[in-house]
Amino acid sequence: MPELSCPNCGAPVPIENKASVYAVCSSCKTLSVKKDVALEKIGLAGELSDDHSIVQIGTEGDYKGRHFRVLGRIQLRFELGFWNEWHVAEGDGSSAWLGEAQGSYYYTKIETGVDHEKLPLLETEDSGEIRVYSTTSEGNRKERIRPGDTFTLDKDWTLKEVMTATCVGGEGELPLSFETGYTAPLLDLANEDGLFGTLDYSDSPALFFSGTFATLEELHLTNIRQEEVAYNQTPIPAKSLQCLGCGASLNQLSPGFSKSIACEYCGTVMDAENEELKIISKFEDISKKDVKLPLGTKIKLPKLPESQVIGVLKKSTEVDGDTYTWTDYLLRYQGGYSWLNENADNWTYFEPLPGVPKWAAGLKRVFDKKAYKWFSSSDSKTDLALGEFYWKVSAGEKAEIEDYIAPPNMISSEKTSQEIFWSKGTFIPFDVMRKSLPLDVASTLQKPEVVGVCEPNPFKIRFKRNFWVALALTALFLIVQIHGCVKAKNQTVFKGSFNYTQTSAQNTDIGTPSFRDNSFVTDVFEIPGDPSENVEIQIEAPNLDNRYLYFSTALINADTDTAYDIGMETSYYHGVDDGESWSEGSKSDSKALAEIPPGKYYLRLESQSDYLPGTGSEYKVTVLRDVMSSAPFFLFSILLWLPLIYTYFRSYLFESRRE
Amino acid sequence: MNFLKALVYPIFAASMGFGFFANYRLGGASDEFEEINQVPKTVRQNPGIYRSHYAWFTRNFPGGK
Repeated sequence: MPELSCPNCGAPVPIENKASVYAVCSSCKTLSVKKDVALEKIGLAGELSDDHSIVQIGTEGDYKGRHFRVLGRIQLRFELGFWNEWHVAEGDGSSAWLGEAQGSYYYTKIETGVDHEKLPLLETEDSGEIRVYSTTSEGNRKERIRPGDTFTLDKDWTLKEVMTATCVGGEGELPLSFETGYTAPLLDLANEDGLFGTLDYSDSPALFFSGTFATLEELHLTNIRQEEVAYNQTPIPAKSLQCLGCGASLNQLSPGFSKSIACEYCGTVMDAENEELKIISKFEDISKKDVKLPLGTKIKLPKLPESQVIGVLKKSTEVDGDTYTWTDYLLRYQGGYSWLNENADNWTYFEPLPGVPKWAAGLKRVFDKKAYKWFSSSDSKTDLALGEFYWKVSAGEKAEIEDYIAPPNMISSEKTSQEIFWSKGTFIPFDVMRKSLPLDVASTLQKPEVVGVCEPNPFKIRFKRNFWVALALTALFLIVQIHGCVKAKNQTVFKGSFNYTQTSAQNTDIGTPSFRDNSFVTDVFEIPGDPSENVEIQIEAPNLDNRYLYFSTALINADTDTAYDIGMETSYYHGVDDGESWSEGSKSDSKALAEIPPGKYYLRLESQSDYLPGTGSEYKVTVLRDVMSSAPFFLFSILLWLPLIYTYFRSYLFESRRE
Repeated sequence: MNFLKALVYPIFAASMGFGFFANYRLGGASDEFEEINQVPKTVRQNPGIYRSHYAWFTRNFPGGK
């Protein structure tokens, strides 16, 4: 490792990496550039702010199998606080950057092969607003790009945020030079493949960094800062302020984080970024009605860190002339922030979402392999702000909101002229919400009467489960049924043809004195097999035409003199009514008798009909042994699926009540 | 309460399963036919006697044998 000396104070300035050209002396903060084997002073690095980062020079990590070591950093101040660009050297000596802001990490590398002609152009308005334009292939200005819009650079990127960062200072060794106090316009980009990019316009042409979002766990950091001073561990004490509007004493609960503070007594919003407060806005409506979680309320939701309500926003939107209102609670915990949304007594927990969810067919967005269905688009207006916020909140702030749902989750985008902010929400059941709050606050909560936006549909869950139960059982029934059909012998043990001739007056009942007995018995036949097997008797009268034939049938065991008595009927009628033909009944009938013991049997048949005396019809009788009917399969399968229609209907009703 | 509600369909489905297998065992045949014991042997010579015997049988054994 070549160790050079600071040109200002002579202190040793180690330069480890071949990509490092600039170095900041740890003793006197002199920024030097490496020239051959010596350092040449080019400026002075500003004093770094203690942002409680857990990363420090010398921190090592492994990201996606690549080992890296932190060599230096540039610290910037931006809208949300401090942002560090840590210069890291990978195992093979190549240079990368670990961006760090508010507990989020971005592992990027500088892209040198990008076509500079394709870089978006920036224009700064008199008001300070930065406008972004896409470029033509000749590098000319084309059309304005707003956050949420997509443009092509090396690939398709979505503009996520337009911001300005101010360089605070730097330390260690760096491949880039910087200037303390220098302002850099930055564009944050994301794409649907989970990539992250930054265009840094502090240089010309703009520097393009691209890479991925990384979680702290994925970085496997070692040699981090001592726990007692690190970002995630040290609680920052509240600070007392006096409202410039009404003189009330206010508690700034999260001084390192909040940029503005709205007085809960008079609605005055003050810029809390500097020691000297400044009024920036004022809310006229300061009614705390419907604010269910007072400022300072501590919340411990299951599996989430304990957080505290530091800000409250009441918002509204107008849809078809109706005004809908809801309340957003800004939660702050050590190492990050989140939101709790209360809408008609339903609670949803929102966390910032890295990247841009992918579009999918059917107006859906996909994030983390889960598809979210479009739910609503609206414009929101901020009607009331109380407490602290990480941006300079103002009365009447407007944003475009889009919600996509996959209960119990939802993803929402909130778009302003400077930023598109994606967040992921999780529905909090009422009982869980109540248990997560102090008793005095929990007791004021009302049970919701309407269905929440991403409230899980219990009928859908039940329907899904019942569907799989029904499907599995139907499949099982089918397999067993097919097996039964294949196994059944279907053995014909008797077959005979007979003639019926009417001997009684029409419609005379069997057994009445006027009924003339026409009963007869068949020859004896053998029924083989097992006592558990069944017997089916089939009767078919192919010439039956607008008549019926009823048979009182007895299957009689010739040895045991036991009879199995059943009635069978064939009736077939047809005709034409009002030019439309119809028919009903059947020319055949069959009855299956369960568990008939084997033996010698004969049939006794006694018939009755509406034929005119002297007329009649031929009919055939067949007796089968061991048959398998498909009726059980169809009967029980249909019954199995019937309740699902009811559950589906309930599920549909629940969905239609979703607000 | 929700736990009990969640059990309604599985219990129903189980009863359908029992119903199916009970019917499958019989091949879909009915066991609700009328079984008459001690049919006279003379029925084979005089089929009409079956009915009068049946009438006698039900008169003497109204509850079944």
